[in-house]
Amino acid sequence: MKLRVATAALAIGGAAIAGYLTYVHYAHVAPICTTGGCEEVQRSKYAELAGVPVALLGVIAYATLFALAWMRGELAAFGAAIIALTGAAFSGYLLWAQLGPIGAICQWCLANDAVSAALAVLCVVRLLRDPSQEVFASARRTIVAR
Amino acid sequence: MARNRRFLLLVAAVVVAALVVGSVVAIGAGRGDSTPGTTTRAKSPAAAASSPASAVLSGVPQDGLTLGKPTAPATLLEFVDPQCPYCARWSEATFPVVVRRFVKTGRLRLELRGLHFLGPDSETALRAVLAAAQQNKAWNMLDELYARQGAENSGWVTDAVLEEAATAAGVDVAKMRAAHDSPRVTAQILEADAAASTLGVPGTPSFALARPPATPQLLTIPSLEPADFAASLESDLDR
Repeated sequence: MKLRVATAALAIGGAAIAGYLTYVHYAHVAPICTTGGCEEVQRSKYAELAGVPVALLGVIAYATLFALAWMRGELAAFGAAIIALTGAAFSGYLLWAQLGPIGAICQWCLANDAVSAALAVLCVVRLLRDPSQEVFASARRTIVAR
Repeated sequence: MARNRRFLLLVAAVVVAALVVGSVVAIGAGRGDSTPGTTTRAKSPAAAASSPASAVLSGVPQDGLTLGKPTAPATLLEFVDPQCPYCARWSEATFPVVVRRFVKTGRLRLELRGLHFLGPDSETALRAVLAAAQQNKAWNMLDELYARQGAENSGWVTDAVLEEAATAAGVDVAKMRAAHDSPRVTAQILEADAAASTLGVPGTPSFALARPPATPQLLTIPSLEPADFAASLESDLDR
């Protein structure tokens, strides 16, 4: 249960970051930035995927992870692991783009990288854990409550 | 048994994630480098606001007509005419690459030398750029004017265009107007004309490399395209 709560909390944090960057993209405003390169990163070709801002894809991914965090079972854990691992790998690719071709660092992207890496770890641990543990824990709480 | 099954699910999740990200990266690589320049220069203020040249200027120190750290060992003099379409093209496509690779790394600073040989609109626009330089916004102003560039001497450099470009560049319009016809701006125009004449500048854009105490040397640039230009500049700096 703690794993899923932590996943949900991180997903909210990630969605907040991605939501802000999505707003910045569509409002055509410069993001608040202390690293000096946020605007450049946001305007690079890496900020969009087939015309869709990657930040918006991030919002969708985090919202899905948040929903899956509240679902029980192996299928939910498997789906969350796929999304989280994809997000972490894609974050790694974007980090490479910042350090290499773009030559600028965006603090919001770094924060997003940290969140997506943490989510990947949590979701993998959840998948590898025995799902019956969750059922037992739930049953134990029910017994204690009685 | 169940443990093996969960491990297999993890392997499957890793494979799916790798396939998805691999495809995205492959598509991205297939698109090529869309840094500035591969598309037609936009004229609308909204599109101009997303200019890659403007974006790359963020965080780079400007002092009058210079761009970059004062401690840079070499200075690249850029001779431009605000009406010159090749200058606009260079600014859009190659300028960001030069700034990222040479200016931000402290190897080079850029210094603007504005010419006005194409006609009356050139001088009006150039004066606005030089007036913006007094607010350390010359490079932003020049880029914003390039984004609004019209047909040569068609009268496109109107007060409205100057005001729009100045606003987009973050220039104080009133101060810019006050400095537009000032003796200081006139002196800078004459200085640039004299430097161009001394170096034998053949047209715009042209570039000269200054490494004090040596006198500036006009560079022979094989191509204005980003990769070729950067390679040529690299070679010149290594000499």
